[in-house]
Amino acid sequence: MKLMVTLKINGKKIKAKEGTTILEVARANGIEIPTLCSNDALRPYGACRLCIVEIRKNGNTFVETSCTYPVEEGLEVKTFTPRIVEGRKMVIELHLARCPNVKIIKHLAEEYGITESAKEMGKENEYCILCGLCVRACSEVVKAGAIQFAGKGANKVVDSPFNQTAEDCIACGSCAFVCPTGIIEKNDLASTSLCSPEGCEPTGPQREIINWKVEHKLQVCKKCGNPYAPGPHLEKVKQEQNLPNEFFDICPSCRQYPVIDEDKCLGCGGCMENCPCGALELDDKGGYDKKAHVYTENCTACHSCELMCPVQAIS
Amino acid sequence: MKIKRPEDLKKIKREGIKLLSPTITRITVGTATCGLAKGAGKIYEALKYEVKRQKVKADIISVGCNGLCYAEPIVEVIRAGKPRITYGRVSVEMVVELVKSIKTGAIIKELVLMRHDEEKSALGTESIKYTKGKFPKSYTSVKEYRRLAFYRNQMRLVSRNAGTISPESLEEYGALNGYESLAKALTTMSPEEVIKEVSVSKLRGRGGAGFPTGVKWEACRKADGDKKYIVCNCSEGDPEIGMHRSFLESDPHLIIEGMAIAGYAVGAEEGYIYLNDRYQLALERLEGAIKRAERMGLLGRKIMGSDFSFSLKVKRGGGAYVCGEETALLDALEGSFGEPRPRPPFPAEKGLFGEPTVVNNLETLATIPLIILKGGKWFSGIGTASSKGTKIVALSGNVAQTCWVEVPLGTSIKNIIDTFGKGTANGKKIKAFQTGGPSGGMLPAKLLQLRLDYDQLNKAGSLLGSGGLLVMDEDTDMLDMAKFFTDFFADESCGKCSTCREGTKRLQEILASIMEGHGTKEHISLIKRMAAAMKDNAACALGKTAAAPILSVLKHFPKEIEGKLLTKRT
Repeated sequence: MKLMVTLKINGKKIKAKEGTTILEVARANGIEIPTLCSNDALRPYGACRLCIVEIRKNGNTFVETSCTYPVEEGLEVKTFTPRIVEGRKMVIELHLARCPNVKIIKHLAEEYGITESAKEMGKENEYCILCGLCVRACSEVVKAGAIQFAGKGANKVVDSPFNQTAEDCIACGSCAFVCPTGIIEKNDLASTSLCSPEGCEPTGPQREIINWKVEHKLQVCKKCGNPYAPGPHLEKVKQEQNLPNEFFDICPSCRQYPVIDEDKCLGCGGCMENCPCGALELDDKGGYDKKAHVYTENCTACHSCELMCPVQAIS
Repeated sequence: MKIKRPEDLKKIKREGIKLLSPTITRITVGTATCGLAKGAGKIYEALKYEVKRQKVKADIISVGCNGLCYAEPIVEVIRAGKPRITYGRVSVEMVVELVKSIKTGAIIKELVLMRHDEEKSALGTESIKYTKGKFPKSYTSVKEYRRLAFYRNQMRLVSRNAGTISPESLEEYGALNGYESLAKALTTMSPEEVIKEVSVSKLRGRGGAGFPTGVKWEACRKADGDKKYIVCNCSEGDPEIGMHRSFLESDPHLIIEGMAIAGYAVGAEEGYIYLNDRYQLALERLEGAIKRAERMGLLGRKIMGSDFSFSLKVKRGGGAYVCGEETALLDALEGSFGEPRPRPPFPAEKGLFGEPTVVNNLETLATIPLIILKGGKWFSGIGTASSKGTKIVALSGNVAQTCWVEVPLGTSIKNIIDTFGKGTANGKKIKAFQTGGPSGGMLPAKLLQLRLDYDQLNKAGSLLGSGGLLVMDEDTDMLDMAKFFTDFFADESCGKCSTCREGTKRLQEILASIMEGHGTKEHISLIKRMAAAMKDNAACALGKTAAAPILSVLKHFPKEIEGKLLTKRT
């Protein structure tokens, strides 16, 4: 059991679980704080500095990023003071000088009443805001660690190792999905040709991620014939989840989930105990009558329940 | 020989004293990097050759740096039973004469700097006497070291062994109370008592921020964790300081002892020394010292028969400035990018590999043995109300004598520059000075009366930092200096947080355009606006202070910039 602490945000007393961050608590209570580098699925990073708030603790007032600061008993937090607005404006202006054509930055600038970064500032036309979401998603969630930051300071970029093909990339596309600026180019191609002096050969459907110089074949569904996911991605999931080899032959939309014939079902629970993913449970049907029920969102269509059922009630 | 009980240290001490006041002539050459740069390596070889040729019985030993960097290469001669004579600015050509003088017992007057009659131990209660029997007449013309302004105004506590003992000899370190503090802590004190002693001493971190060491240790001791770590910060990425290098090249055992005591106090059994990879010689000597300590049983399992085990590892870092920041250093130690971590949690709660960790500066850890040996109360008697103890200061820039010195905190900066640096090299007036490396501001000469004190320097817009003191004369273009340090920050920023990465880049551009003559008043107000945001928002101390150099120039030397602004548009 986690302890509860009481803190004040913008004068409002709020109870929060110990270990959560100010940003989480504020958002849960309907207080808006802008962010660029935060994502619920990832560990707090504190790179964009947009979520700064004023914190008063033990008589000291200081500015900190709310995404990284854990709640503490007796904290007084203010999310929208002149000092904070000034700070955020400068952060936005700096971003705007770097990436004047990125939509999300333009929106933010509009919100804070900035039309242009100060004209004394130098200007660039970058698209990457270096929030690190792609890098962190790749290492923390996908656990592939295919891309990293390279360089430091002003020369920092997100890149594949040594600016060569990212060999650990499984082309899952999570990086492109989390990228707030849309600079990561992920294309699914119906078919390309691999050309050599001997002639051209079609490669079949492929996915390319241009930024990491990666091309991977897409798995084609044996049933409907549509390409649906890159091969290495499925291979990784297969290994992690210990799935049978032929598991990904069929795409999710063509996959057949078990159907239970309730007239035949004995309610013995054998299927439930043998289900590797906990997708089967017994539902009470009144009295001592119990019937198996399939939760398709957990089901991987592995057919083990079908094999286990003593009365062939599952098909 | 292995040291199994604290009493065994006495044997080491006896052997060490024999080495330091020998029965045959002992010639030492200062072969720290500063000496080697001036040709001490050649002199060492030449001495070896010459001693053989002239058939003089003598041991030639390489030692570290005693701070007199301007007088390198330094050679010291101890003839049996005679005072120790220090020669400075020795050239290879002089070696023949030097060895001849050992034979005859004469003194080379052109080279001699000073003499030592005895070597005081750390406790100050006993001393190693060099002079046995009658004092030789020819030596009276040489000044005793304590009569020299350079030594008289110093308080050599932490650096007491530097330049005297061989860094490659554990015995010589033992001769001057070496490892006695560790023995005292292990046998007579509980870990809590050690922490209390450090708290009583009011020692503050020597790395820059000046956080009380006792508080840090206590937090780590109380934190929950399967394992705890001690980390010594020898990253030292500042452009003008080589103090840690010099220290490790001169007296590596002091760090080992300090870290072992810290480990005992907080309950850590493993320590890491994060060393700047540019310090090759320091690495060699430190690793040698660790091996020697392990062989002697001063590191490893059940040290001196107690239940305390401690092991040390050296990790080499690339020397990035940001890795001097403790959380970035931990990242680098773990093998990833050196980027500052969000705080809290502080390293004392969750540091290296997620375990409670104490990260201390090398100088902080080197002070610990003395505090244990002489007591925290004694230590707190030195210095000012808020800053206790001594500080090693590295003087560089335009000074007549480049050197490092150890002075009690509270010494005025003017005093340091005048006594040890002897003013500027070209005789020009001092215009500005900078303390604490790039993060410190550049202060004008009228503030030279400031004292070495954490709070006083902070108030003036600078910081004590790691103890660099850079002197600039009246010809220095302050805008140029500000640009230099801003470039440094733009280069050394890790690039994680947007304020620092983008801010330093833009500051660099703005300064460049002012220097090119395109500057307007709007440029200045933008600098001020950006500096305020960086101070508030940046993730770590590097980003927070990245605008300090230009801000201090704007504050103290406004005319230098205003003169370069466009007055009207053409």
